[in-house]
Amino acid sequence: MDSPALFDQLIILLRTTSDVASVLLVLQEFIDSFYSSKTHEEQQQIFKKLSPQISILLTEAFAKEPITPENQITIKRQIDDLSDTLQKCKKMIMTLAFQPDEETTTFFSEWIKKNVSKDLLLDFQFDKSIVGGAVIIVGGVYKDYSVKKQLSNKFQIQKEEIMGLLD
Amino acid sequence: MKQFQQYLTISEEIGFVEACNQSIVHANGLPNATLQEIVMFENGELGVILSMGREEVEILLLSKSSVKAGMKVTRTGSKQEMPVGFELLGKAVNPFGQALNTGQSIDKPKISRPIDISPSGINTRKRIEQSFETGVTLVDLLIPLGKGQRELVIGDRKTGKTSFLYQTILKQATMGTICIYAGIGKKTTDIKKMETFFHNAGIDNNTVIIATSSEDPAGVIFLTPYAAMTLAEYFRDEGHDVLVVMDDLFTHAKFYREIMLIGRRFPGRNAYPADIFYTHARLLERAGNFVLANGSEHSITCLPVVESVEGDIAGFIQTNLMSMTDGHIYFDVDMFAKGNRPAINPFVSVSRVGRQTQSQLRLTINRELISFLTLHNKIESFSHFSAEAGAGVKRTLAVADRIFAYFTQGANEVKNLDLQIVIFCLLWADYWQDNTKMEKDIATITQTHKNSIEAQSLVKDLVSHANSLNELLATVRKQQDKILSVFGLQVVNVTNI
Repeated sequence: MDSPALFDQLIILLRTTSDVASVLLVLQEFIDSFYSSKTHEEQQQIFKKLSPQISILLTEAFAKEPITPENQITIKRQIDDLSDTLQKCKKMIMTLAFQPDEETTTFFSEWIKKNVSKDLLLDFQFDKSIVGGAVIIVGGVYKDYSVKKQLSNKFQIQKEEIMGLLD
Repeated sequence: MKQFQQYLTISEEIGFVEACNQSIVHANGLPNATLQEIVMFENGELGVILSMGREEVEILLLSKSSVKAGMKVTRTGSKQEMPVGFELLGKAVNPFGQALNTGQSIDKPKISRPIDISPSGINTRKRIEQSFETGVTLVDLLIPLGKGQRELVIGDRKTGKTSFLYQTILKQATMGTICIYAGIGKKTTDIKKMETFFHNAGIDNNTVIIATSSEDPAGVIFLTPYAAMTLAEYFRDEGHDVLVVMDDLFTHAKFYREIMLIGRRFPGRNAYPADIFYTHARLLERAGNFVLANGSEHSITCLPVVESVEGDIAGFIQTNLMSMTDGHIYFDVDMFAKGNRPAINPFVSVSRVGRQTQSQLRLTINRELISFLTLHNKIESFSHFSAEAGAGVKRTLAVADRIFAYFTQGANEVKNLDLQIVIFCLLWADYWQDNTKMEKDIATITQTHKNSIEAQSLVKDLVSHANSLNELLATVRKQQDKILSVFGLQVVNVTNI
């Protein structure tokens, strides 16, 4: 399987930057196994550390056949290309006032892949001081949709009104 | 200054530091950033955008404190600006208009102007026609300057360049010109010394010091002359003649080289970046004689300083600056060693504009002096054989000796040009036969001129009515009794040489 096609399939399954980091770690471990005494079965077991869908996809792509000195250079190059493409993926930093669970993560990810871009990865950050809502950073653009900002704006308007009355 | 979060809320753009190499920072994000825009890091430090790539920007740090990878950065939406206003007169500030650490408080001016602008076009400029006095006789008579001229001051270390600058600033500030001293990467003690000098001379109200110390970040040092020029343009637009002293552009070039090499620009000659000429030329081009919108004429005279090494004036930066200025005043290390003060070499120094501003009298004096000194230069080699030298040679050597003594001027001493012309006339007419008497008499004349209104009006009258040196000599001969009695000198026969 060529790298772009594999990437297209893989990116649909990846939700966050930490998912990508796990995949990159496993791919590196798989490359390292070329130079160790691991058997073909043991090499296939490496991908099992990932979610079942991703594991099947990567096993199909790289570990279907045993690694031999003839095919290992080609496979390594394919993995390197895939790793580079994954690292270059755009990310959306989303700061929330709570730690998102699996369900929330999947919900946000699916919504973004459907409505914004399928290549966009989520990078969740946690900051309870924003009270609620979210602060979003994507491609250098910063949008503050937090409750903290809404409250702060409201306080500011009220403060100006009171100061106006005093004047 | 607003805080990082406020700027972030307004601009809604953020970047993250990816790499930091001394004063150069690479950051991603900031999609709508523009060149020369000021950015703020999350620790409150400032930087300026130097260049932009497809996905990252190159930022020049304007502070010394470290910026770490991963740090947030946001746009401020403003370009590099200098607060300008009359509030800065008598103050020593950095290129951002903040007081240097000298215990001064400054009312921050309400107006700010961008530091780096394109020079005004030719339609706003006018021929230089007004004379610019430096208070240094040798310069005023031999290498005359005009208002709006850019004259390079070049010389080795410790040859009297700073003294000359002090004298020029003192003279011009006394005459009402606003003088801006830009100290580029100077020692803090030197800046303090300059401040004290201005204060003691009572010219606080006409001077501003914009300085950076050698310990400041390279980015801030680089901005110093631009900030000085911005302030000069403000005062010009307010209807004042301005003098800008840039001390010195060799240091400026070295700091620019440092920044560009860290920024991985391809090094050119002597490792200076390829645009060093452009960088200095567009700065100096902002000086000149201008016609304002209301029709009035005001000038920015610029005295950039450059240091030479071992008397070599053919260095890269030195020759660059020579070619973009309207002449240069060369401080000769050998003349300094011989005891000449100021140690200006009149044969190497050039003024391409100043002569057009001179009166006929000053022009004739200039011509006479130059031809005499050239003659003296040729026959100086015979001075070793003075015993066998003819009477003519001996006389030339003696007169030259007196002329050099006449040009000798103490540090921080400024002279009245009209009075100097009258004294020169007496010297040229052989009033003095020996140097000791001449020096004593000149001191008496200067003192009398300072205190006596009659002497002042006499000098003014003599100079204003003469159109050439010969005319002045004839008048002096005619009125010698009166002149000598006004100045309290002994009456002798005054003859033309």
